[in-house]
Amino acid sequence: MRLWTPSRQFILFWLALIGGVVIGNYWQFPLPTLLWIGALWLLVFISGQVWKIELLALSLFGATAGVILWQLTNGESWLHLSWLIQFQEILVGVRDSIVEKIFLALPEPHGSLLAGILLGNRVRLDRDLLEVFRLVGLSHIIAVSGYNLTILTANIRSVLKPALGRKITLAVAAIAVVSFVLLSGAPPSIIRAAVMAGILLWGEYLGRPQRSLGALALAAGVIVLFQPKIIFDIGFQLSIAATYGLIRLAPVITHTLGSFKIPDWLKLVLGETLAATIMTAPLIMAVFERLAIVSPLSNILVVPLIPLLMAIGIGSVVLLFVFPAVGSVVTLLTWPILQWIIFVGEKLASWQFASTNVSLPGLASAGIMLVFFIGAEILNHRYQNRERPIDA
Amino acid sequence: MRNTVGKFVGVLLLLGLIVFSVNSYQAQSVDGELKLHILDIGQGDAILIDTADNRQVLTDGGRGTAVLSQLSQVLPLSDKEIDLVIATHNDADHLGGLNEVLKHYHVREVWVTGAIGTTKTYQTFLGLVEQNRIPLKKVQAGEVVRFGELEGIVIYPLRSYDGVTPENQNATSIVTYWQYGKQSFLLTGDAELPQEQELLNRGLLRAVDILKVSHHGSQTGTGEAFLKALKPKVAAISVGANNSYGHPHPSVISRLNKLKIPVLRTDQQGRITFKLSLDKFSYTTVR
Repeated sequence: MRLWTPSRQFILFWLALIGGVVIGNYWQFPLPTLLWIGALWLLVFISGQVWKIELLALSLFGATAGVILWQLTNGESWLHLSWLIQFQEILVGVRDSIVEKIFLALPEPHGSLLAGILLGNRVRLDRDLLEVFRLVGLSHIIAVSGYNLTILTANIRSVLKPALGRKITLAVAAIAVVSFVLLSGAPPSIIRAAVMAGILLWGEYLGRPQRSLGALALAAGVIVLFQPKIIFDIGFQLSIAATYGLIRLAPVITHTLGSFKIPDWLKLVLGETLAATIMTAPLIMAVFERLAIVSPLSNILVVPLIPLLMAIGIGSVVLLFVFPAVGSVVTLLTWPILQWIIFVGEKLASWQFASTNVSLPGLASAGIMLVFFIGAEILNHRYQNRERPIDA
Repeated sequence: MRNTVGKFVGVLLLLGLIVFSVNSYQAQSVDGELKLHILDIGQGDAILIDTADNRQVLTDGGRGTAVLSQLSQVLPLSDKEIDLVIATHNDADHLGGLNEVLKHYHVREVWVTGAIGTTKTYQTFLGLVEQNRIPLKKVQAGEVVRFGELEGIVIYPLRSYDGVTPENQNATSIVTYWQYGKQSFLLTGDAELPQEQELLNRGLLRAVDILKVSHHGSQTGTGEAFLKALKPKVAAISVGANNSYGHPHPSVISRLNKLKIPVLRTDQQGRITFKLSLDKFSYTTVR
């Protein structure tokens, strides 16, 4: 078997490009030299050499391209979709009127929690409640970071798939992603998250979730291509790490849980949550200087209810516009779920060991990340080459 | 497929049952009992009157969203209606939270003095009132409102402030006197000593059972003559813990103590709820 398949070379190229962008941020080179080096290694790559040389040429070409990209753009976003803004204003209007209707139908903080879960972070949530969610590792359920849409899509998939089948579930998830992007007013963080979520869905559609690693590299690369500075954005880093965890680590954990007598959907939720938590932990520790230890518990208690909440929530929003009287009654049905989420958050946050203050130097964090990535790759490799029972 | 739909309907019914029971539990009230809540919203004022037949009058809203969670705790789930909102004056620690209330509740009527405020909060307030097409009444002394056995009357300001930009917003505070059977209470906004004197001079004050102490217990108000005229059986101060203004002022507290008027404070006791029947009242506090 060839080790460096074209798809792996593809991933390598994007990684090199991203690396080049980082280098570009720290060191200045004369542009003609860079162009010359880039062209040279590109020539070497396409001229067909021994695979070691070929890989070296590819990485150097990618890296040089990254440095050039940074120097030309200075890290700033250079693709301006100004025509989108007008469209966006209409959407913001739609979102605001949905929020208004929800606010009038539910008490607080339940109303803003529902609006936050349905529509994203532009809705102002009670600051105390936000802090509670942060402490127990639940803030992803409201779209504070791109992480939310990714894990949410994955969970929608896991919970709906056994009931509705693969294709319908994917369609539902895709519609959910698109409407979420539109209604949240399409800020960059959500677009980014939508690209990530789209990748997962695409991989699932092809029936080859493992392949989505290439798509992840592509998406990350394309986003960096248009907005180089974003690689230093913690939200971007978190969503890459979380998505990576979902792609490579989640199946392993879910499989390992196979021997326990718990429902399949719970295994999936657990696998996804743990994978995302593990892969993002070093980053979170380095940047936010704390880690939500109860996060797996709070997620198991809350996340399985989110699809149900979203289903009733979306239904009631539609009703609020069509039959306001019926709608406001139906909206109240979300209250017990919202109250449960608030209760779990507040209860767990009051525990002393809910989260710890730990800080990690940046370099140590990077080292641990690397170890985690390698570990995840090894585990994933073993998982894929496991001995499968043969059904005769 | 049918199984899934069945389960979903079952879950909906269960949720409906929970909502119904919680709502009925919250809505149960003792016959003929009126509740006066001095809400715990930090530094500011937010006072809710909840009548025996579920009509609500909210006087001021504190600052920010704190008033919303307090309202959720004292009103049943399904009650998203407030019959009357009184904005005593335009300061942000009274008006700010009302903006949130207007976004989250169906408000039937709003009372103001008509005095012009200079803040963005005030502009937002007017915008929300207009946007929601809420009837806005500019009131002065003599305005009366009735909800069943409850009767309220505005006793200050004595003249119209419509279109006036006052130097001191506090001096325009709406002061309301409320009578429920034999029980009575006075809500004073941020009225100061000169306004108290005006009321005394006109002979507009009479004994009350409960006094909401003016201006969070600041020394600018609650003079001895005023207290002697009102003879309150209990005084409630709406004030935030460790506020930067030093409210309530020690001199006000000692004046109340001297006249042996028991003092309840939201910074120490949390939300204060007076339960009034036609011939007696009691109170509870919730932190």
